[in-house]
Amino acid sequence: MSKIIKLQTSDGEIFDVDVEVATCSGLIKTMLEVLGMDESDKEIVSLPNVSSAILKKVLEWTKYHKDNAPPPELDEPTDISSLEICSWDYNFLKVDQGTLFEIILAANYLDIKGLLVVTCKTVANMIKGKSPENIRKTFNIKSGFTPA
Amino acid sequence: MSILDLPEEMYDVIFAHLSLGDVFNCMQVCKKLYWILEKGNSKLWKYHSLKTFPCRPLESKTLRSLSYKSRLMAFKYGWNPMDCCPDTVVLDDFTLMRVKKSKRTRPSYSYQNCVRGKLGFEAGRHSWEITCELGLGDITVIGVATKDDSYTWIRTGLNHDPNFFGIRCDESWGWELNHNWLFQNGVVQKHHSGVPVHYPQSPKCGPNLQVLPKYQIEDRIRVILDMEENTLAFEMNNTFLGVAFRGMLDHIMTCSFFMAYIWLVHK
Repeated sequence: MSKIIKLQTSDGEIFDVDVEVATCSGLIKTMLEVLGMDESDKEIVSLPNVSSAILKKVLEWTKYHKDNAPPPELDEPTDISSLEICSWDYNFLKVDQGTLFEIILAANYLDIKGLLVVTCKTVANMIKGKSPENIRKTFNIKSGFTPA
Repeated sequence: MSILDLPEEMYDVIFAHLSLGDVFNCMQVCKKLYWILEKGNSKLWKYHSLKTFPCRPLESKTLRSLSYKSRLMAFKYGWNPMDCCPDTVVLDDFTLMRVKKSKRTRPSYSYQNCVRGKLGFEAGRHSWEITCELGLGDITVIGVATKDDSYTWIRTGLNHDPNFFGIRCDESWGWELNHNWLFQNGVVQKHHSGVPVHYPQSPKCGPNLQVLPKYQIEDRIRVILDMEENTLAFEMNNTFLGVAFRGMLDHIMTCSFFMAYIWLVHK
């Protein structure tokens, strides 16, 4: 039976998570490597920057993608700059903008590269080919520039 | 939560998936996005610079010291190797124009070398820097010209006519560095008395510039083209020298492209 790790979100809820799933997060992986599994086994890992609603989404994604290799770093341009998103991710990310940005923040904080890339691609798709005015409408932003 | 609340490093990831056109569109959305995306040395610009020129990292002597964003801009607007005199070569990521050493006999009187930039401007305010690393020609003009039939101006550039220099067919405006003259459409600007108009004019450039500055090798000249006010001005080593031409663009607004040019005459 695989080991279980306890994660506590900002609103106090505690999640029992399979270690294999939890270590998709670079943050938790490093934490376990530094602390050793035996000790953290009994302790609760607190994640003050993530709410339970968002952690649920993040865990859903990591469970589905736990066997996929993380994407390469963005320092060098590669093919990952294509905007294609697999259909499972596409449906998974059909959420309101607020939630999407929260997931980006959580993916960044928990260091889950694959999730970060796919969420950022989703945002990029919302911007792609749009005029400044349409981008403002999409994200509900006020211009603040002096009219020409 | 809004897109503007994301930490800045997230924009590097988002915009790595978009084109430069999308980046520029987003810079016009609001001030906050503008300032985030404007930071020329961010990962984002490095990424786009490498993506645009994967085999040429834009590391030439001139470009190396610039931010990645400025490198991209300089590359885009640099000298045009397809639009210069036959004796001229463009080197170093299009930032350096050099006169070819050729054994071919030149016309005994003089020869000229001209080059224009790759891209022009239609509106807005623009500035760029020009430095002469080697000696000046007897006549060395720096300024702007319209985009016209390039082959015509190269031909006329090579035909010697003592009363006429440079770009005959184009409309051009420039500052001649050796005598501190102004040239318009290849002709020295003169007062009614027949005396050439000098630039910079001493009263306009303040007490420190009573004596007209003479261009020294390696001095940095900044050309300032303001297409909102229709003026052309110059700066030398960060000292503003005043407006050289006014109202210059009014009568040719249909010709929408203006090019930087440098033009040398050697004896």
